[in-house]
Amino acid sequence: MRKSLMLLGILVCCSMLVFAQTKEITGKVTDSKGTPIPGVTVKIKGLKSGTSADADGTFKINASPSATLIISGVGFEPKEVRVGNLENLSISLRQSDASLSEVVVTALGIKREKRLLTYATQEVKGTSLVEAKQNNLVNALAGKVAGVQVTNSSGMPGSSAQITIRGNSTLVGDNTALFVIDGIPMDNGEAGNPDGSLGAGGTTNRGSDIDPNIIESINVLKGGAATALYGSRASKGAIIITTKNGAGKNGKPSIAFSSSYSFENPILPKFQHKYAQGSGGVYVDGNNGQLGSASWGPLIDTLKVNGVSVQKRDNVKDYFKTGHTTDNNVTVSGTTEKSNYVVSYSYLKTDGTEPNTSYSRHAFFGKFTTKLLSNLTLTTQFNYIHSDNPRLLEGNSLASPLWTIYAAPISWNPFPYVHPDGSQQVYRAARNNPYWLVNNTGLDEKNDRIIPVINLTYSPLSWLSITERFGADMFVNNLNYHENIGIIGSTSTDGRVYTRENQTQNFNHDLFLEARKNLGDKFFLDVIAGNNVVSDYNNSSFVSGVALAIPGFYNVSNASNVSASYNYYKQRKVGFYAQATLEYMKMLTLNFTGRYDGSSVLSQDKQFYPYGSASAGFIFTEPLGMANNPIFNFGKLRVSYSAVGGDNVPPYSLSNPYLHNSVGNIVFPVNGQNGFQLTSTYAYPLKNESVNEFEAGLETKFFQNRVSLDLTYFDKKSKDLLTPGSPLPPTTGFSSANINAGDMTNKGVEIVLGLTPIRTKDFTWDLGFNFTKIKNQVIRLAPGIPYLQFAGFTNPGIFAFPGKPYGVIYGSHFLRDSATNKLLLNDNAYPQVANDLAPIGNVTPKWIAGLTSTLTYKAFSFSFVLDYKHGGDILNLDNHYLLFYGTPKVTENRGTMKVFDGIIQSTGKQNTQAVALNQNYYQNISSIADESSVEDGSYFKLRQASLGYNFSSSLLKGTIVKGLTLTVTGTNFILWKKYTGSDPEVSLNGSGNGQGFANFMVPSNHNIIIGLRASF
Amino acid sequence: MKKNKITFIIVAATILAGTGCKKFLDVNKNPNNPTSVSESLILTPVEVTTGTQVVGGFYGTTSAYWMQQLSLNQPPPNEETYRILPVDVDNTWSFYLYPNTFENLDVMINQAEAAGHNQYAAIGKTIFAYNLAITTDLWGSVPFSQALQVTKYVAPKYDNQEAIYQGIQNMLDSALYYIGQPTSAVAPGSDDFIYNGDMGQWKKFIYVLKARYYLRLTKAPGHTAALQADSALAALQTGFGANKDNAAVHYFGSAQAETPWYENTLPGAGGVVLAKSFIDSLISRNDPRLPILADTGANGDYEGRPSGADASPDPTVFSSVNTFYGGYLPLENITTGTAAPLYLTTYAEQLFIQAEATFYKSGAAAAQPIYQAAIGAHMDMLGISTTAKAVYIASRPLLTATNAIQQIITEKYVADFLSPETYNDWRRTGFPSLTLAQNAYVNYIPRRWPYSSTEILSNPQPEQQGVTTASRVWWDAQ
Repeated sequence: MRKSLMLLGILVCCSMLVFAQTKEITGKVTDSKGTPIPGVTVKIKGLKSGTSADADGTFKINASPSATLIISGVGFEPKEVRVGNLENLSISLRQSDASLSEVVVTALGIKREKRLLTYATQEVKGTSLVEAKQNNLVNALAGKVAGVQVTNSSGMPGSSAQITIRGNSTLVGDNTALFVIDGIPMDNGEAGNPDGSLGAGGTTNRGSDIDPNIIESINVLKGGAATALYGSRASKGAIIITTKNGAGKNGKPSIAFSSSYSFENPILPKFQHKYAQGSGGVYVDGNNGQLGSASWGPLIDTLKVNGVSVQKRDNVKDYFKTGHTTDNNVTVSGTTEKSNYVVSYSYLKTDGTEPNTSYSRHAFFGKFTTKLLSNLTLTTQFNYIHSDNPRLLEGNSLASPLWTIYAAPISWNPFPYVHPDGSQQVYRAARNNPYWLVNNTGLDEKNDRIIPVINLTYSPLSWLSITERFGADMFVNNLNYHENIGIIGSTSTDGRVYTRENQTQNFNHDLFLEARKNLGDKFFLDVIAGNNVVSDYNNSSFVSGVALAIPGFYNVSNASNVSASYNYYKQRKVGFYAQATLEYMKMLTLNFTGRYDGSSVLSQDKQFYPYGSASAGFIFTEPLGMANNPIFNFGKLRVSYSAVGGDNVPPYSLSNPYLHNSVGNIVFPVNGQNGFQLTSTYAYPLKNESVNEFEAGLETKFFQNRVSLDLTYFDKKSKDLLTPGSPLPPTTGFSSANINAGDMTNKGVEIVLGLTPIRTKDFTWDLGFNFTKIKNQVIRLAPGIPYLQFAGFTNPGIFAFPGKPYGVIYGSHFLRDSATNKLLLNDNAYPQVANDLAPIGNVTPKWIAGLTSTLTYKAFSFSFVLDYKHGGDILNLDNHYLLFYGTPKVTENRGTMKVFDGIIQSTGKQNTQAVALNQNYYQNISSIADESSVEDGSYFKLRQASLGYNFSSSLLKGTIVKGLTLTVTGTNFILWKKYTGSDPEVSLNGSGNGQGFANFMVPSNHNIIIGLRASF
Repeated sequence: MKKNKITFIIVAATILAGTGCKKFLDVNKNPNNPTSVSESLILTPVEVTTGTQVVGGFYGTTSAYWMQQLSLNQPPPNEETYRILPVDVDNTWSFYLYPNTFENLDVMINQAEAAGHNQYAAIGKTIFAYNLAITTDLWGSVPFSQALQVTKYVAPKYDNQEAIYQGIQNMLDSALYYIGQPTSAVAPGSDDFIYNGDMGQWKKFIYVLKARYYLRLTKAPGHTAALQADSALAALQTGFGANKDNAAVHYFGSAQAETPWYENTLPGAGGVVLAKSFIDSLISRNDPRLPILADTGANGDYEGRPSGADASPDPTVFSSVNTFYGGYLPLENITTGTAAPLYLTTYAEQLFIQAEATFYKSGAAAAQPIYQAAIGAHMDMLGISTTAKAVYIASRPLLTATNAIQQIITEKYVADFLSPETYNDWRRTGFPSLTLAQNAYVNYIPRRWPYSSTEILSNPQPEQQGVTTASRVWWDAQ
């Protein structure tokens, strides 16, 4: 007995000895395809110790043979491996159910599991952007993300689009979200038209330079907690773009080629087709030298001049043609043991629906990632984009062709557009023949852009990595404009040329370290600390010449009077930031961020300002053990509070300089005498603005991830908003001010619902629904600032008033009874225009929603995106002018009788008298009140619908073609709208504030695209 | 030890970073625009603004339409048919007058006074007073004592017109004071587009303005024509002596330096021609000035457009403003008018003031020769031959106690062709008698402008309540 015990004891001791002996285990972790997985965690079960794999998936750990290793990686199902006798392990991890351990890219390029995030984000895959087939990347996001509103500006090729997240949070500053590519913020500004957008239209926003083909995914970070690390510019939300990495089998490059061709047809506003040129029913023969601006003439069907019938024309339809776009891309990518690369080239060319307008873009992208050492990885990438956008003016300048085309009488023949003596064929004074403008004016915007980025990641210890990232965004924007001799109503009747060259260099440098450590079994701590430096430079040269000597020769040497200006801008920012994330048992997360920023554009004593955020997330289904529940398997509660400081004001806003302005037509220097005028903008000291946001959210998944529902509530308060150009009473000597002008709130709800109703081997159907409702209010404006204006004229125009939602349309209105709000009619039973101005509408929508659906059946796929906007008025300035001239469709009813629903002012009785809607009514009543041009901008659009066929591998066997897909897509079909103009999604201000303002812009198009995608 | 070392490094780095940061961020000085300039660089744009944007701008065209010297060939309702809204007057109030003229002059005057540049101070005050009179003549009560002090008064209250007229006379007196001071070496010259720095002529101009503003108040409450006439005549003792003293903004005529009435009569302006009542009255009196003021239309004769009529399909039949006053002639595409001066105050106007004042003081007979000299002065300015001048003057009826004002003002109306003074004189005297334009938007000729839309929005004041274009300003008493 004793002997046995002793033997047992010795055995135990020996075993313990054996067990206690640890040995070095090496291993390599790959995924199911054999690609190494960098950075996976290797832990010994039951112990605190562990290690992480290197960038090539290899690891070394000391463990005893009885130990069990737990290998886990973000996005993969953890695996347990008994050490046993093995010394060299080859471990393959299986990708975990994508929807649960979905990985998204957050601020600074850091990947996080979506389930552990403490704030709202939403992802859009690169393929979805390519499918949208939009020239401008911003438009490709429309209808896909809750909380995001995208507004296209016009149908002109190269036109810009605005994107706002969670409403407008600043008053006159830039409200667009920040674009970040691979960790480097990207300039999304518009160069702007020197003559102002009101008269001349917009230019392209630089977001259109990004080729959707290079994008792997986009993650939209919506609230302050998500973006606090990015600093001030991200207070409006951030669009995090991650470009593709090399893929494919080791050693062999994969080639993908795609090509598409599309037809574009303009969505034209409706006009009347019955009445000819003239006034009071009397014909004015614009085809034979007579002049008359209106179309209140006789019925054209019976009109004869000298016995010959006058031909009826559709001048609007004749002016536009079908546009075409070709889009071709070739991408080559590959991986080797130590590196991967991707090289992509795209060429896009659009011929617009308006003659002589087009947009072309060459985009070249190259990215190379390599391991210099086992713990040092270098990524270099280079993006070069060249775009060329010849176009015509929009808006209500006299050089804008649409201004005349929409008002042209149906009896007028614009051809030939010049007479033998060189004068233009016109039907009225003070306007140009639109075809003359097409052939004698032009605006050409060329842009060359380079975005190089270098990223070095060094991991001296398994739990520590240091990242050094440097990126530059440099572009040269050239704008050339010409008007030939003989133009009517412009700066000079003898023509004009100008050239503007803008050079922009934005440099961004980030140096940060990240420490990730498991604290015991249950806790995980991730700390980031870093520094960011931004330097932005911009210089602009403008040369303008008038009075050309030689017709048709558009070079400034041809001008008799030349003036020039030069401007240089420089601004810099410095930021120190830190973030700490604590995770408990992968179900409770606490996140804190802090940032201390300094900006060169604020007053010296207010240059530095701190801000931060605190947020928490709790997956309450984990402790309840519901991860495998068949009905409700995931539920998470999130709450966060953040403050983001901002410096949203241009440089040099702190002083009152003298400006070298022209006075009317007089340009200085005159006869050698120069002149300066004191700025009319008064500069107050400026401090930072602040956006404080509270956000609470619930994320749920049902039926084992077949259904997901995310609800978010946010309450965002913007304080001390920087508003350059706040109006002052002009009698102070200044008409505007640079000042911290006001507070604004945005409160809202975002709902994202995902469904997979059908999932079989052959048939999958995914549905996504998003809904956003935002209530916005301007709380107060600084003392002395009564209102702010963003767009338009003083009336009608778009404003912010204290106590009212952002985007009030203000203008003249009809007299109404204050009690019943009924029209107060005059004794002739017509409405009366009031003497004062009042709010007559609001451009902010009530709610927006989108629906995306993707159906795959064997080789076929069918997807569509629907987009609905409810509310949000449009100021239809086209109608404001055209009603006077009698061309819009609504004036076809001239002469019909109408009983206005109102009260006769002098008697107080309800009106029963019918009156004629005649020329006098339209000219003296309807078109006088701005109210007549305010329309409901609600719409229901089919953003895109796409049918695709994937040629099966069996068909392609034996060829070098590995995959082939054919798609047919239609985009921008308006299914329902109340707007009488073209597309209710319109803005003369391009991507600037003051959306909902339509003023003679090229109508948008619906497009049919055929595309082919092949990979080799 | 190690801990201290690390602490030291961290602290040093932070301090370095801190100071380095501040310096790195100190890049906010504007390299594109100067923060201080000499008075000569401020003066020229202000004078050009008075000429191009005010007297030759919307104020000039509106007055010419309402006084039926010019007519706009556009379908009514429009500027000509008395449709004037707060937004229409916005540019004049919110840009051209208060910021571009008054604020700039205020800065220039203060700078000149502080540096002892007396001539600039004098000129600045004169132009300020000139524009202030325009402002109050159009809008009645306007900000003055609380204006132009943005750090102190962010919602300036309005002063009444009586106080403002007193302020105008005070300002002109102050200008005279500075002219009397020793001249400074820093003096205006080619930067002065009105008188090229000739202070003698500025002095005469100031006295003529004083007389003009005295005579404005003949019907103002608390004032009598006789007393105003006295003040005016006293001032005119040191007035203009000849046409060469005329106050005008001079334009060079090259591209982007054209005179305002050239710009106002280009085809892009929509068809600006002469009004029928004006042409007809000149024809009926056989006025030899007609060919200088206007040119013939497409039919070979002088034809004016009826005020307020529907737009004519062929406006070339109407007479255009001739090149003497800067008009563009569309029929022959003649552009030689680009260098015409923009008259602010003329010798002829002065003589008409003198004639009217003399009538109030001494009766029709005393006013007669001055009245005739006034007509003659305008004709000399236009280059009419001595014989034609004499014939015309002889054809005019003699002044009597009953017709004197009508005769004087009606002839002054012709001599003040395209000058907004005609609107002030019409309001004050009722002459020339005008019939309402056709298609009138309101059934009266407006007696003032509405307050600007920006002003109503940004600076609501009690004086804005209940004001319509029918409300009379203080000196426009019935």
